[in-house]
Amino acid sequence: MAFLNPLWLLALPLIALPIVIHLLNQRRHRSISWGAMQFLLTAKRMNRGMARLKQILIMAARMAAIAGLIFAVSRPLSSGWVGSITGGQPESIIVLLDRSASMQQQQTTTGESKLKSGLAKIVAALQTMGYQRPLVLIESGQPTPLVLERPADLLDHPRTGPTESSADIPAMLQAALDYVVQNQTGRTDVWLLSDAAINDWSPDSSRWRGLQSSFAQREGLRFQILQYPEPPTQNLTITLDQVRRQVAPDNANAAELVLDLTVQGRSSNTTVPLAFNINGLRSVLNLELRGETTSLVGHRIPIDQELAAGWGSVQLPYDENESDNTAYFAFAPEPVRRTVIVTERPAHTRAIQLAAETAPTPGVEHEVQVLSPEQTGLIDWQSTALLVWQAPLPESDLARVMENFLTSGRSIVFLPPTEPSSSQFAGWRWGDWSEINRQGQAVRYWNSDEDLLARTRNGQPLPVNDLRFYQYAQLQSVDAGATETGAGETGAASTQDSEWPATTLAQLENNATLLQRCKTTGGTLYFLSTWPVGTHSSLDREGITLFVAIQRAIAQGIETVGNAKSLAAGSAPAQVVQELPQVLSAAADPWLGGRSQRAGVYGDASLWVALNRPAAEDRGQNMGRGEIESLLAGLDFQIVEDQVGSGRSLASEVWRLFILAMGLALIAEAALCLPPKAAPAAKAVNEPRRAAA
Amino acid sequence: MAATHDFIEPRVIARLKNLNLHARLPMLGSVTGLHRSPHRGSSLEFAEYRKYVPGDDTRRLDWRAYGRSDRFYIKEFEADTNLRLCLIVDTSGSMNYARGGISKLQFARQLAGTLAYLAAWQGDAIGLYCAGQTFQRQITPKRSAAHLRVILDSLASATATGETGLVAALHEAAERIRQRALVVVFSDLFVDPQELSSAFQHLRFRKHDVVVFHLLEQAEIQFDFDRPMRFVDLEGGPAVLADPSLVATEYRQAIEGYLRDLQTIVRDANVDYQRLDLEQHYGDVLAKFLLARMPKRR
Repeated sequence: MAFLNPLWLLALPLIALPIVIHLLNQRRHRSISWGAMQFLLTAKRMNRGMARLKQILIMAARMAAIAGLIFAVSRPLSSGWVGSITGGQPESIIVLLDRSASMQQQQTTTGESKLKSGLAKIVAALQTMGYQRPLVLIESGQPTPLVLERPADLLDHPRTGPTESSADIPAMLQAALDYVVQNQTGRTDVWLLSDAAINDWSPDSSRWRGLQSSFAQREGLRFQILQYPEPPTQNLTITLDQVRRQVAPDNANAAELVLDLTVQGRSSNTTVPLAFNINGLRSVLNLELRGETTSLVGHRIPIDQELAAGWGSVQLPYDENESDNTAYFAFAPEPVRRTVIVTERPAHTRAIQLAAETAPTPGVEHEVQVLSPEQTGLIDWQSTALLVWQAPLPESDLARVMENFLTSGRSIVFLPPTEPSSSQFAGWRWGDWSEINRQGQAVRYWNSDEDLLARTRNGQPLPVNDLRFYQYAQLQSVDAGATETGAGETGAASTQDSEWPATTLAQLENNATLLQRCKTTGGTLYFLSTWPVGTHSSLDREGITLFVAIQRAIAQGIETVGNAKSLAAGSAPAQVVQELPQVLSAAADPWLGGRSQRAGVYGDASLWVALNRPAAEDRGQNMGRGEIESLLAGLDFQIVEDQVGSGRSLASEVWRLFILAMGLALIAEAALCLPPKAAPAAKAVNEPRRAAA
Repeated sequence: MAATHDFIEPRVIARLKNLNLHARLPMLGSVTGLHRSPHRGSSLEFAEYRKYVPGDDTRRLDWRAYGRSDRFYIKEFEADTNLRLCLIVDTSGSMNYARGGISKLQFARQLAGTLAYLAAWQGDAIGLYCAGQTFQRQITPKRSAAHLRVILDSLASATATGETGLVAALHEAAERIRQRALVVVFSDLFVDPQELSSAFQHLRFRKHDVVVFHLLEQAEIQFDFDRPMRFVDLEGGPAVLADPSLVATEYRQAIEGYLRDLQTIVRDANVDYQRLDLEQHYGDVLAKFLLARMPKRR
């Protein structure tokens, strides 16, 4: 039970007052000479049954009345936040708000979303508490603390509205921790509103360990977690896998858009209308759903031959979550897929060159530029999608240029240099070469779920098992000062010490790292610890794996090279839309500062940017309560699971109930104390009369 | 005769002097008195006619009746005699109970003493039984002024202690009083109702006119105490600590049941039952009692 005036609870011992008075009364007796002892003894014998029970009930009713009065003046709150508000108001309140796309799941009848419902309940609870001081808002779109004057400001502030981005709960908690440490907030309540989506919480992130220990060291911190884990029952999501403009196969003078899209989810309708919008021209296609995943591949829509670049959207009908009903896209002439290979020995990267030159799709131009380490000044960084670097790791100015290249969304693949070097990049350096044997080693583990070695679209794994490796260079972490190869028991070992989180994508049988990924805020950095030549590996002979991996790396970088870009809402490159005019948007008039969080199409004739929700938002997997509890183990927290439209308030005052209970107790006490109805005979007893004449 | 004890008030005597004490049943006395006798006598009160039988006194023939019917009738008159008033005062410890005013024993003294005075005044014999565990006194009925003083002195010296001996005293009185008498009992009757019933039946069997002045204080009926009390037994039993709020209802039920039983007992035994409240004035009580016993006018 939570109370707004908990100090009144100190008066709870007064509940024993009736007993104390009773005992004092018992001791305050005086003596009286009495003759009618036989009746008194009889009465005492009779009193042992119901009368004693009645007396106990009277006592209990009096105690209940006092308890009801004390509880009523303590202003109790009925809520799932059991005990959350005992001890009075906190000195500070920090509200962590998950504004991710999945939080827009709504009740179709009322249109109330999880985000809206949760916000309203938090505000109502704070107002019920009488909390009117400023509070700190940390929301998933921009995890920088924002001070709001009043709790009610949460309801209409631009930074509390819906977005189509993902949330990074650990980052939000880190921001809250930083705020608490910097401002010495004292007794602080951290209220977290979320739908417990796994992709938002990132339970596997090692950041949790640090957060847990840091929060545990702070006293007076309490976490109130309001979550809406209820999954959608009838919701469809739409994802655009590919959009390309091409010349119509049957008419060289006509153009068309070719779209690959996927519709996922459960719906009672077997056929859903897909509304296409291309540069304002609308068309509808009825798509028959088959199972939970239906793909529409190669859907062609004729367009004006003169229309070289443009924008559009594909929209599903209204359902439980509007944020995943529309996929936005932009198209433009396919840019040249340019790869730059910087190598000490061009023969060692010949296989990569071939893989990068080969166009997997007709009509897409691929270009490879091979340079020596001394020719890096010739690199056109703006038009390059992928950089392959087989040389000592770059340092100083070149390193900074390459970091900018990475953060702008492009990819770099580092291969070991011919001779070991002390140079380092992003906290990593190449060690000595290790020779295995003539039979070589196979790959013990590789990540087939994502990135370069992921399964193909039809679910088939890449033939990584067929590869053999004979020599490899050790990849070393500069901070650890030890060989990282073989450090992980499993291939999923991650290192957070470097600036960019590193993940091992493939390991050899001796646990040596074969392929490692460092995810930057934009593009991706890869370390491949061998060369694709026969003396070092069979990557050149078994070329499929190398080809697919290089093409995927190019595809990642090309997204930011062309005039039409498709980005995830909320990702760092999406910041570019802040300076572009809005063409289409999920929000009618998105706040400029939060534009990068909202799906839509932004741009003009020179550049079109389509923002869509991240693919992870469609997974729909939620954390279990136990998982959240384990993440917050050792902290003072409580979790309340709510449902949209439940009507249940987080904290509502229930003193009236206690007043009512007190009244009932007093009535019961009065009823029990009422003397029994005088029997007719009693009158005769009390009035002497002659009984017999 | 002059009242010499404080429980005899001249003012009350003067008020009651004109009210005679009458028995409800015929009495057998030794001298002429105010009370009806079972025998025929020479009073002015006509009783009945009966046929003449040889041996009857011819002076008692009603010649007028002979003239009318040509038959001999004897005209008989009621015999008036005196009575034996036997006062039985309960002197058990419970008769010491008093709440604010006078005690039950004192009240009984006033009633018994005044009745004795009135009876002596009208020429009746007076006896006294004091029924207590430790105080037993028996004074056989006599009718003399000196005897009245003995009676009054005994009443004045009576003290209430110990358990009651009322039932035994009633049985003993029933056995010892040889002729019909007016037996007046002054007691709170805190005895077993069945034993009391037996004693009353015994007295009635001996053709005594039994009157009971039941002395009860209102507090003993209402039990209207407002706080826990330590009740000290006036008859010497152990003290009892009781919370009236807990036991009042049961107490009242018990005493109501007892009084109902008592009503039945006195009705069955044809006992003149008078329940008295100590707050009443004894003069009023006696006046009412005597008036109720006045013979009906014929």
